[in-house]
Amino acid sequence: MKTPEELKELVQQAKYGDSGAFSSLYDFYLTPIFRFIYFRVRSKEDAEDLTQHVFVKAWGALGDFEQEGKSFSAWLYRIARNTTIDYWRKKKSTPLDPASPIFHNKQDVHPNPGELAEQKEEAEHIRQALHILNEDQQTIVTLKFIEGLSNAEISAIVGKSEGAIRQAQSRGLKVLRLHFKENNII
Amino acid sequence: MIKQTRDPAASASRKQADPPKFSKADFGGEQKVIQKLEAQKNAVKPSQQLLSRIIAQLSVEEQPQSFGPFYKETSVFTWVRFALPVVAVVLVAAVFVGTRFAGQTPLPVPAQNSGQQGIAQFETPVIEQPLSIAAIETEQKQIDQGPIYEDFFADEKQMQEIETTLAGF
Repeated sequence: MKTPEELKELVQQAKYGDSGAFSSLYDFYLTPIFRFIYFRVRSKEDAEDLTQHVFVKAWGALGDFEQEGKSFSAWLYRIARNTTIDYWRKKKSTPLDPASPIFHNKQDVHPNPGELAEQKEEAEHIRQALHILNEDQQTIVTLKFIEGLSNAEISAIVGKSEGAIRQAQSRGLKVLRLHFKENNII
Repeated sequence: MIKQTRDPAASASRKQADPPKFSKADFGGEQKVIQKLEAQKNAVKPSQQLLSRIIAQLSVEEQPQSFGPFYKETSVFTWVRFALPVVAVVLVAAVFVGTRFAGQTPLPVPAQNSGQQGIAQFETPVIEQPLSIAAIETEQKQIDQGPIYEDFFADEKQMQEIETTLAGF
């Protein structure tokens, strides 16, 4: 775990061309960004491709990133969000594939195969349920409840007021609750 | 006028039929949704190959940061941003110089006796210095003596050739 000061320093060094500092940054942000994208797209493969794209984009645009008063993670999540929006624009006409493969993680913390299969299934259900929400609700619910970001941080990413964020969360949760109930998930 | 009155019994039964939108049970339901979502934080992780893929791609990607802290200054936008004030200063200077010395040029004046009525004809006045008679005579003398000719053609032989040629005409 890195402190905000350490992260700021790494961003500064990466901005001036230090690839080692940037590799520390993507080591730190890889999983959260991947997870954020994973729940927004159709397959793990797509999520990995888009995550890679996000980091390449970030590396290219890092010179334009101004740190003063801005969070690097918010900037990175914004790139990720725009990347997924572009992804859906391209795939708009193609229907959702419910049998998309998920979870081939070698480093999973739960080695029990039964438990792992259960987790896979649940993650797939949740991912499909999140697709029922609109784009804003998907982003906000994922960032709030899966990524654990504060409303202020989410507000910086999506560019909406904290009141609007709270409203979208509440609406999103209601839709999810109904969907989970209908599908006997809860 | 017909006055509508509320039936207390109907109102009570309606209240029973439409329970309030937000109940404790609903909140509990949403808590379960939140728990399900929060559990995903540790459940989803990228594959090990993704990290290697990113490292491989970034190593071949152009590194714009290699220009150092002045990288930003190398972008087209920044060049334009710096060039615009310079262009503006040059333009202002040119306009200033133009207006400052413009007064020394005589302004065009309407030509008199232009021969056309109703249309203003302009011409720039030409200032000529009239030569005195003495000056004209001196100049003529110089031409007759041909000093310029002699100076120019120093080679006498060449000069003779030219004179012979001219005599032929």
